[in-house]
Amino acid sequence: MIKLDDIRRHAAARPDAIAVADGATRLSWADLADAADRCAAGLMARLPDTGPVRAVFLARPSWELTVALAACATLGVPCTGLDPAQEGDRLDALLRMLDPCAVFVESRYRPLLEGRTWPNGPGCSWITLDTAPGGEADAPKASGAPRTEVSLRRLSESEPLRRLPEPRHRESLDVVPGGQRVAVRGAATEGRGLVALIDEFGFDAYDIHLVAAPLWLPLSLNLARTLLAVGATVVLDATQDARTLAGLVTAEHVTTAVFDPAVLGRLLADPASAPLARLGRLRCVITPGRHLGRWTVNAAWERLGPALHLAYTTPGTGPSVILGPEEGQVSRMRTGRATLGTTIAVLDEEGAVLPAGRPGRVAVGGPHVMDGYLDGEDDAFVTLDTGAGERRFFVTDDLGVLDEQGRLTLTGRGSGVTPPARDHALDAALFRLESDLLNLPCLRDAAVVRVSLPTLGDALVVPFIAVAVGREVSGHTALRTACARRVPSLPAHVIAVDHIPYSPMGRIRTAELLEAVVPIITLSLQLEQSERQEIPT
Amino acid sequence: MTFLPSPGLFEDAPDADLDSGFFALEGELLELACVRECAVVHTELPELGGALVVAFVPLAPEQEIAGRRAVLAACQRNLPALYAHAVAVDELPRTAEGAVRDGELLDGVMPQLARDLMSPMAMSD
Repeated sequence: MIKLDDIRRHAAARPDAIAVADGATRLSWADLADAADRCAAGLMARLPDTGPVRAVFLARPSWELTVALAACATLGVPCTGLDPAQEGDRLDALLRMLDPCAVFVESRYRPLLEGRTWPNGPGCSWITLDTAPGGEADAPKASGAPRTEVSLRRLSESEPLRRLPEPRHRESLDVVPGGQRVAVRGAATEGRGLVALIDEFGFDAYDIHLVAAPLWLPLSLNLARTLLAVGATVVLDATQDARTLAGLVTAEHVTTAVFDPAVLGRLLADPASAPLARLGRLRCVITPGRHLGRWTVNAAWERLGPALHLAYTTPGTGPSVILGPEEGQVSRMRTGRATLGTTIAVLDEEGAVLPAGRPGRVAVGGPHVMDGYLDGEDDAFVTLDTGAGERRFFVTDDLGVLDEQGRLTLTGRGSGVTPPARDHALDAALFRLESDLLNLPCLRDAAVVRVSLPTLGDALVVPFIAVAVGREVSGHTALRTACARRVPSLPAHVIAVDHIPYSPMGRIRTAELLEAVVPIITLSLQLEQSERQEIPT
Repeated sequence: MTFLPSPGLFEDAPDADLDSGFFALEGELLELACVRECAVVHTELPELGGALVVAFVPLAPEQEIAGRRAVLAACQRNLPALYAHAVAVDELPRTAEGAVRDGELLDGVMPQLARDLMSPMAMSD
């Protein structure tokens, strides 16, 4: 994120201009400078004097996270974002690899970190970003944990720094998807990447940039940092709600944006996005585009205007290939041109550069490419001469082909097709359960839906229509027995309903069905729980 | 006279063919404008073995059947040797990078797959 001296520079030039907007909270450049200054001072007092000093964050985009990241950048503490949706084993491995001395966490993600251990864990400072309802957010410590905990608000009550400290490190760390490795970028690489992004998209201080993707996504963080570096306003959204986003684009006069692909899909499918193209202010919308299809490109053109840029980006390569809005109309998906300063090469099995039209392994060289991995291995790098002198290239796992105009089309992955790990016994049990349900005479219809919800956990929801009024109890018993016999590893919530919604093709409309039955099941579970508590009393 | 299949006739296609066919299919599915989103997963289905599961989000409820036809036709063109099952979903579970969460997707569609494969309508596929 942007450093304090850069924030102060903007604060001196335009102290009252808005730097960060997050809902009703608006930080001017002067406010942001003051908050980052105090936060950096409070954080500095809590960091160890020796050893590698790193931080991690688990939070949605917010002004508090922006201040925390600015404080870390000022002190030279690499602060790496973690994906809250990743599996626990991967999170454990990442925490051991990064070994953070400070953790910035939003209350909702706190349970994900509780109970996890890493070498610096016992002495690690936990900084809660949001204030829980009812006052100070300092939550009770887990039993036996000697760590220190403080809220960002309390951290920001520190006296401002008298002079800027010497940065502890000059690098940033990004997690490679899959959570197995961490990409390292030095300050020089970061600076080159930032300048290249400004040149590529023409960002300036009059831009208003919407962040609708989590900041642990390197593309999202890089763009937010770049826009703040040029003095633009950054508008943060944590709701991921289509209507809220459409409202923000209109109300804040957004000119550039970064979207999570799923959120972009929801926005484009929502009627609220229909008038956005007519506003004419949105000039650049960037989203990771490797997995997006034709409908998204067409709908974005219609609803947002000529603004959508699909970026092919990984933490290793950075945004190396871009498919612009006009090119998107005439090129195949997964095609794009190299970003400014980036060179794409396609290599054969021996590592030699292939001519245009020949498919092979994609290698990327340029300002956005990482310097190496945290574990020190650099086996993925080669030195190539593509006609402009020798240059270091990162060899990706992607297969692709370059055309005569230098456009790259991704054609596959070097690692091939990898089927997801499955519990085949459970899948077979679900098939047998379905067969059983077809033969139950006491049901008119039943639907099995597997859910993974915070309220129910990993479970089966089984709504059914009884064969006749008054036969709900027997249907309920039969279904519970069938579920317990066939799929004993998953709890089954059986519930009688009047209607099971179907699509014209006979598909059960699960979203509609769950919307109707999950609140009833949750309420019923809460009642059962309170009854159990009352009986001993 | 009894026809005896030559050895290897029913063996799986070589992996290289699967890889190239699978990625060509992925590319073709991304080009389909008649579905909102689409994802293909290669997995083992109970009692069927290796199969393609293609989940798609239809443009509208009434376009679900057309979307399914287009998706299955693409599968037939690119990987004719593999059984393919298309299932419509409300939303594809994606990571923030846009990659589909394969495991989560299969967890969600497996009961519907079981239902489709058990019901006479789907048997005609």
